[in-house]
Amino acid sequence: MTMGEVSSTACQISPRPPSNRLRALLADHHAFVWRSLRRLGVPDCDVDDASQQVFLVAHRRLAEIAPESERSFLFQTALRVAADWRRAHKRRGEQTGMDLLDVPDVTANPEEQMDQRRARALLDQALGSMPMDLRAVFVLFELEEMTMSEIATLSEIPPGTVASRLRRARQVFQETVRKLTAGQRAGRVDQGGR
Amino acid sequence: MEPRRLLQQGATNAERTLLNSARADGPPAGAAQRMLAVLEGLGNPSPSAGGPMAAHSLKLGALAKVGLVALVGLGALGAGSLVHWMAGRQSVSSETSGTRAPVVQESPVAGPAELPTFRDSFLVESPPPGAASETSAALRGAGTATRHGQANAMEGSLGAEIRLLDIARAAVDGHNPAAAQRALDSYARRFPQGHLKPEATVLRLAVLVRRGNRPAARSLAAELLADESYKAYGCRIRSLLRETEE
Repeated sequence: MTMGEVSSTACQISPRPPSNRLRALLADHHAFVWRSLRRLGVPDCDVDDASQQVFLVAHRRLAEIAPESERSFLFQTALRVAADWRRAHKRRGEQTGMDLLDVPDVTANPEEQMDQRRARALLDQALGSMPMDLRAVFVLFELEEMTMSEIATLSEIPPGTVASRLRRARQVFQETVRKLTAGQRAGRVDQGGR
Repeated sequence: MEPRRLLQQGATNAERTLLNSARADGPPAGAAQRMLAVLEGLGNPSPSAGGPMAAHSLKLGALAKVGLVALVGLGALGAGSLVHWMAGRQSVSSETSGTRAPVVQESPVAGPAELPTFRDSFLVESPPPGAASETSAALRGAGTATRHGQANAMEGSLGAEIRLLDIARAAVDGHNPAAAQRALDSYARRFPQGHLKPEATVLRLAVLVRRGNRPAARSLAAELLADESYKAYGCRIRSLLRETEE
C-alpha cells in the first residue's frame, strides 16, 4: 500500500478538515503531479507554476473530490493544465522543448551530465511527437510504472483503450527514437566528413 | 495480460537511455512546503464553489476575484472619502483644541488583483536565512502598535508590488506591451528598491521582446544572464531570447 492509499483510507474513516486534507494532498501527490507535468511537456522552468495551478484547482474543489479519486482528479487537472500550456506556447511560437542547459544535474561527471541532459531533451522530443492521450498512457506505464488497471482508473478510460493507446504510443516512440538517432548519426558523419 | 515495460524487454540502447533519463525528474526541495504556504494563504475554499472540474475555472475564479476586489476598492474609496471628510472636520476642530488630525494613507494600486505566481511566492515566502530572525528580533523590540504597523506596511507594499507585476504580466500575455510598460514604469517609480525587482526586470525584457526591439532585448538579456542574482531566471531569459531569434 502506498502513502497515498494510506491517506485515502484514513480519509474514508474520518474526513479531515480542509487544511489537513490539503496538506495530505500535497504530501502524497505533489511529486507525482510535478513529474507528470514535466513529462507531459511543461518545461522545467514552468513546472512549479503549472503545479501550483493544479493544486489551486484542487484547493477550490476540495469538498467535491472523493478521497479515493484524489490522484485521478489531480492527474486529469494536470493533463488539462499541460495541454493549455502547450497550446498557449505554440500560439506564441515558443519552443516547447526543454533547454539543454536547464536539466537538473544528477551525475558528477560533466560528460555524463551532458549526456544526461541530451538524453532528457531527446526524450522530450520523442514524447512531444505523441498526441496528449497517447503520451499520458505512455508516461504512466513506462515512466511511472503503473499497471494497466491503475492507468484505466486514473485516466477514467476502459482497460482496452489503455492497451491500444499504449501500443500506438510505443510505435510512435520507437519510430521517433529511430529517426532521432539516425539524424544524430548522419550529423556525426557529416561533421567527420568536413 | 499485463505487457512488460520497454525497459524490461527488448528496448534498444537508445530507447533505454532516453527512458532512464527521466528517472531524475522531481520537484526541487521544499517546493511542496512553499506551495502549501501559498494555498493556505488563500484561506479555505468557498463551499459554494461548484461545477465541473476544469483548469479553466481558474480564469472564472480570477474574474470573480477581480469583481470582488473592485467592490472592495469602491468600498475603500468611499471609506477613504469619509475619513478625509472627517479628518478635515477634525482638523478644523483641532485648530481650536490643539490636537492634530490623523494622516490618511493613500491606498495601494487600484487594478485587478490576481493570485501571485509560484515564483512570486517563492521570492516573498523565502527570505534569506537569518533575515527572519533579524526581522523578528527587530519586531520584538518594538511596541505592539509599531509591530502591527510595520507588518501591515510590509504586507501592503508586497501586495502592491505583486499586483503591479501581475498587471504587467497579464498585459504581456495579452500582447499589450504598452500597458505592460506603463505598469512596469509605475512599479519602478513606486518601488525603486522593490522586493520583486528581478521579476520586474525580466518582465521588462519580455516587453522588449513583444515590442520587437531585438537589439535592446538581446543586450538586456546578456546583461541579466551575466548577473549571478538572475540565475534563477536563466531559463525564462533564454526562452525569451529564443523568441528574438525567430
